[in-house]
Amino acid sequence: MALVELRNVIKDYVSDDQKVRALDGVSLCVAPGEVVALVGRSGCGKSTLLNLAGAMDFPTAGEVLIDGHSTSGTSDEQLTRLRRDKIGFVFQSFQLLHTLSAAENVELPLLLAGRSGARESAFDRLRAVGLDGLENRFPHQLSGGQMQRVAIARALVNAPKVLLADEPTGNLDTLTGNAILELLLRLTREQRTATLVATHSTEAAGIADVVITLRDGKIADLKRK
Amino acid sequence: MRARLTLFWRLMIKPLAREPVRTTLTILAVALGVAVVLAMDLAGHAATGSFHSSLETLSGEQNFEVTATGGVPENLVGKLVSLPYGWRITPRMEDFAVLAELKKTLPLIGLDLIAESNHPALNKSAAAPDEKKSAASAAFSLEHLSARESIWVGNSLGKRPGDKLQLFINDRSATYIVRGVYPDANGSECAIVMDIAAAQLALSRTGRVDRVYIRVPQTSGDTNVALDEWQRRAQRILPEGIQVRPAGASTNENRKMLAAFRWNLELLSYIALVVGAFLIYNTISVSVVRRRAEIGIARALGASRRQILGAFLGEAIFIGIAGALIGIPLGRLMASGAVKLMGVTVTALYVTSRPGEIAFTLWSAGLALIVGAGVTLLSAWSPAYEAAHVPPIEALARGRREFELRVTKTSRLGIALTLALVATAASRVPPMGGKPIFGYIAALLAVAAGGVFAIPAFVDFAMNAVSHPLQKFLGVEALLASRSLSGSLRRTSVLVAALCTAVAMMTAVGIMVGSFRQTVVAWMDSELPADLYLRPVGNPSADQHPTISPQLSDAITRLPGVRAVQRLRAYEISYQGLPATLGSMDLDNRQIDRTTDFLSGRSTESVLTELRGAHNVIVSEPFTYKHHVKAGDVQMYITITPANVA
Repeated sequence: MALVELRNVIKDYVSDDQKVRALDGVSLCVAPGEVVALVGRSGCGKSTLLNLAGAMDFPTAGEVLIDGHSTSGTSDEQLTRLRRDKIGFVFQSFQLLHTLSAAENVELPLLLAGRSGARESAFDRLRAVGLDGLENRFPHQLSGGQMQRVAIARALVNAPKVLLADEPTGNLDTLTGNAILELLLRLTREQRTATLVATHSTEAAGIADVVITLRDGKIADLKRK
Repeated sequence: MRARLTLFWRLMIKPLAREPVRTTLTILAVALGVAVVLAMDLAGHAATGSFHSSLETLSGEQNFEVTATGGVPENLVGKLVSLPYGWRITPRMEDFAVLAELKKTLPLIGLDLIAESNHPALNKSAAAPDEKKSAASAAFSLEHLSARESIWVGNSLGKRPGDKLQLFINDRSATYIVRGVYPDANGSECAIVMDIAAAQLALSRTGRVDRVYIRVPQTSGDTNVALDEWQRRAQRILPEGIQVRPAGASTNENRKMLAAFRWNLELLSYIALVVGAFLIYNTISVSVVRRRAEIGIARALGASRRQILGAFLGEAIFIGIAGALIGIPLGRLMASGAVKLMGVTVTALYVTSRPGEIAFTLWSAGLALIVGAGVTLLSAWSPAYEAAHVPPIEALARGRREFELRVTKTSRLGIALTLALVATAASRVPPMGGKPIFGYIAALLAVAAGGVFAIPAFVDFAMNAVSHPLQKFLGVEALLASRSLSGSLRRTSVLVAALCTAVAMMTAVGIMVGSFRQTVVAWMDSELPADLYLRPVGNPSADQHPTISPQLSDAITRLPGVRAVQRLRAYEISYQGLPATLGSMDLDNRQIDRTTDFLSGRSTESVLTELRGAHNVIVSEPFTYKHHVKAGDVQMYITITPANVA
């Protein structure tokens, strides 16, 4: 059963009183333990698709199902719960909170969910991404690769079923980027998450099980390994 | 709960410490607002709450007071005593005396000391134990009680029995001997007490007393009905012009008269809090803008709207409580200074008042805390609500909110115009229950029209108009600054609105004070066309009218170079349940130029002609507003026997 399913999804935006179609009839499925790479030029709809798959936005038409739950017609409260319990995000620019240490950043989703044992879970996750001993460092005391590892640890700390990564290697050098991609792939396999990666990088696309090329909001090509 | 508190501490409170200047300023602004409100409230209660005249303080429990303009004829006291009702009748003299050595004005009370030799003021000798016996015996010596030089004083004066005191009473000076000292620390006012006959002589008011208290026998059944009946009975017995009122009525009248004074002071004090509210709004707005990305991240990671709202409101409450905790002790300190200033103002403009104790209670502290936290909560609501309701993907991409404000500015101008029209209409509605409720609504609508709806358009227009000239003269930095201001239109508009409010308040108060001063100057020029003004020594007060003997006035008239002497006399009267001053002057003195401006526009001469020898009075403009009278109304009945006029 697919953990993420898009059924003929259309997404329109209004900009300067003009309707802009960001996604036009997109359908796809992501199964547990599968990595799907979204590639294409800037503005082709990759980020929009990730936002819809992450319950951050609603489709104009069509349906988005996350672990069987449709995001259409649900309240903001339900969407929030969906994001909190089932989805992990990794952003291009890491999006760590600079006022919090690495461990505190990783603890954040658990604290928001009111779960106990947040500190221990955060330390475990940081160890899993190879940041043992750097738990109390603040983001400005970490390298780009280390920051992205913290972001991955944070995305996975509440054991989500869906992992969404928007240009996870966009701000990293090739070597570090490759290491991050390997980490993502390993964790996806270990935790059986459905992973969607929006990327420009050919290396990133290289590790994916499925590569979807988007053009003008439509699926132009779909390659399965 | 622990997880939420941890989050709140990490995400909201710790960042405040990283901006110590902004945080400190905001907390201090709230502290100052709370302090001013608390100080005004405490000082208002203390400065205007103690109108129990010394007479009332020293009179014990009474039921009625009999008063008349110019005093109650003494023969009426005998008439009341002889009635077969079992009433306890206590006549009083009441005026002021000035301590020559300290130039301090104290109430002067004349009591029937022989009849009231058990009076607490005379019994509770404050003399030292070894002196008590002799002091007490001195206090109760019959000879001393009625001697015209005998006085009793409060112990706060620091005098002992046997000490001599030089007093100015009206235009005379005399030396008096302290016969006893009473404790005045516990609610009693320090006053100079003497026998009623001695007081009449000292005040040159023989043949009348200032007030007569009646205490009726206790009755069973409905006490209020019985008291009403007793009051009617007393009024029937007494001639016209003599008023019988429940005891303490003058205190209530004074309180009523000062209600508007206190109300206005309290409203002005809230302006300080409004300034604090603007700063809170700004702080939380800045906090929201700067943490927009953090809000987006938190929302993406599963923070609910309620959590975001709670976090920002919690931050505001934290600032509010911190400000209030500083503001409460500060307010208590400020109240001590304010009560002195307000006491002086009340005494100068309204009625002699001894400031009471500042009643700083747990309730007033709690109220200040609630006010501080409440104001911050209200002012933080809008930015916190905005933060909670921005969708996560928009939070990660800022700017839309500013755009929304920009595109709706024309319609907002329309709303501003509508509100301004409604405000104009509301400002024309007369007061309700003596309070300009619709005036306040008009002010709020005007602030809303200007501050909320018109200012964004104005700021945008101004910034667009000046950005290029600024760039030309000051360089690209000026262009960036002006564009940055119009780019964050919401926040800029709030700051401009805050400054507008502050400038408007300053202008309004400046105009009010300037107008008041000008009115006083104009009034003095027209009403008091003299080169020199004489009044007996002592602190001037609105309700003290010490007399100068006619002989002195005649002597001054005979002095070489004196063209004319105008004699004025004033009494405190009660009119429609409010204190008023009844003044009189010599209208037949042709040597005096009179150029009074009357609202009717009539000439001074024609008005004064009608005033001479007829039952007519002139009333002041404030009197017409307060009592809703106009020229030609017949509403006043005042009886003053010629013998009463000093």
